[in-house]
Amino acid sequence: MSAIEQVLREFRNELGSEFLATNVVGMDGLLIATEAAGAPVDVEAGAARFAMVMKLAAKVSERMKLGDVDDNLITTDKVFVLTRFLGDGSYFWGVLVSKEATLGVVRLLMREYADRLWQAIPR
Amino acid sequence: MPLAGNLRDMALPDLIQITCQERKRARLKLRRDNEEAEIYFDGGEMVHAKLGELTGQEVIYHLLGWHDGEFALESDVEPPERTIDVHWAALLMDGLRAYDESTSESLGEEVFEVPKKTGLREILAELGQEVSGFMAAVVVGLDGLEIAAYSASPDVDVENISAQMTMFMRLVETTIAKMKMMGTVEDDLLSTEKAFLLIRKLDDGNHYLGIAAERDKVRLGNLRLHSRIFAKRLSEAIPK
Repeated sequence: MSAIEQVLREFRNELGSEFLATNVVGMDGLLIATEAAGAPVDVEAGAARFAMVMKLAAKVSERMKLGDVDDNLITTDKVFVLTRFLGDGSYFWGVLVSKEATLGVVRLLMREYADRLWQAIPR
Repeated sequence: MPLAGNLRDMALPDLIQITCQERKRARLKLRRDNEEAEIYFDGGEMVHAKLGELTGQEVIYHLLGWHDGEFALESDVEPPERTIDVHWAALLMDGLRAYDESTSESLGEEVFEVPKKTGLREILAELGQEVSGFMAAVVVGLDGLEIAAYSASPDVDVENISAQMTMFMRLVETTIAKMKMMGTVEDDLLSTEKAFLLIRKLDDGNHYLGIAAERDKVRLGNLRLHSRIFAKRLSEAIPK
């Protein structure tokens, strides 16, 4: 197991049963690492699609002069999808959790783990 | 020298849009037969209108029925009072919608009923009072055109907010729809260095509520809670 996969596994364990899936993705839309709890989600397609969302998020923030994007949270009737830029913004981290998850805790944990994940990405 | 001409050559909605977008302080004088009207602009908004004894937004609704008549636009004329508080785009949209309905019913007569006030801006203003760090709130159609807006400062470019938020939300919805088993989007919260942008689809399925609030002042839970409460009210207030 790679260093980045180890960090993702640790993150998953902290979240418990609300965790569904997570991945680290380059801004080219290619998947770097993934961890899933058997969620029926196409992670490759998700990586590419959410890269587009994050690129547009950055553009929208720039056009509105609101500074750098920290994260994005999508709430659906079934899940929460959180995405956050890592390091210099050349990668992002996506997390899928059930609606039972405590949002504040997920956001807090993501802030805590973001730097570790950035350090664990091979260069 | 004032810009002058005839409404046959330049329609009133175009004159209003151009003057507002240029953020001019100006007076637009209109004359048709024995009627004379004035519209005053300041800082990108229509602030006052007068036609005989009639003042305020009802004047605009009436004038949108004029397709002929002379106009003259003079710059740097100070408005004598403020009788309009509705964003110009929302006012035009309401007025034109009412005019379309009226003309389709009355086979071309220019007289039409003044539409009821939607109250959307007032609801957004109330929302602004409830959210600390509030910057602006907009109700926009899926095409990105705002139908109501309220901002805490005249410097906030609500048109830009409307367009950017809509574009982003549409991509988010498409993305989630393509990813099976993820359900239907309720809202999106974008956190940036300076602000939170919350976008929520209204129950009617045809409009979004967008709220921008200062990052260091807003309470996130409070923002999400009020977006839900006010989305319901706005949805009920949108003219069907």
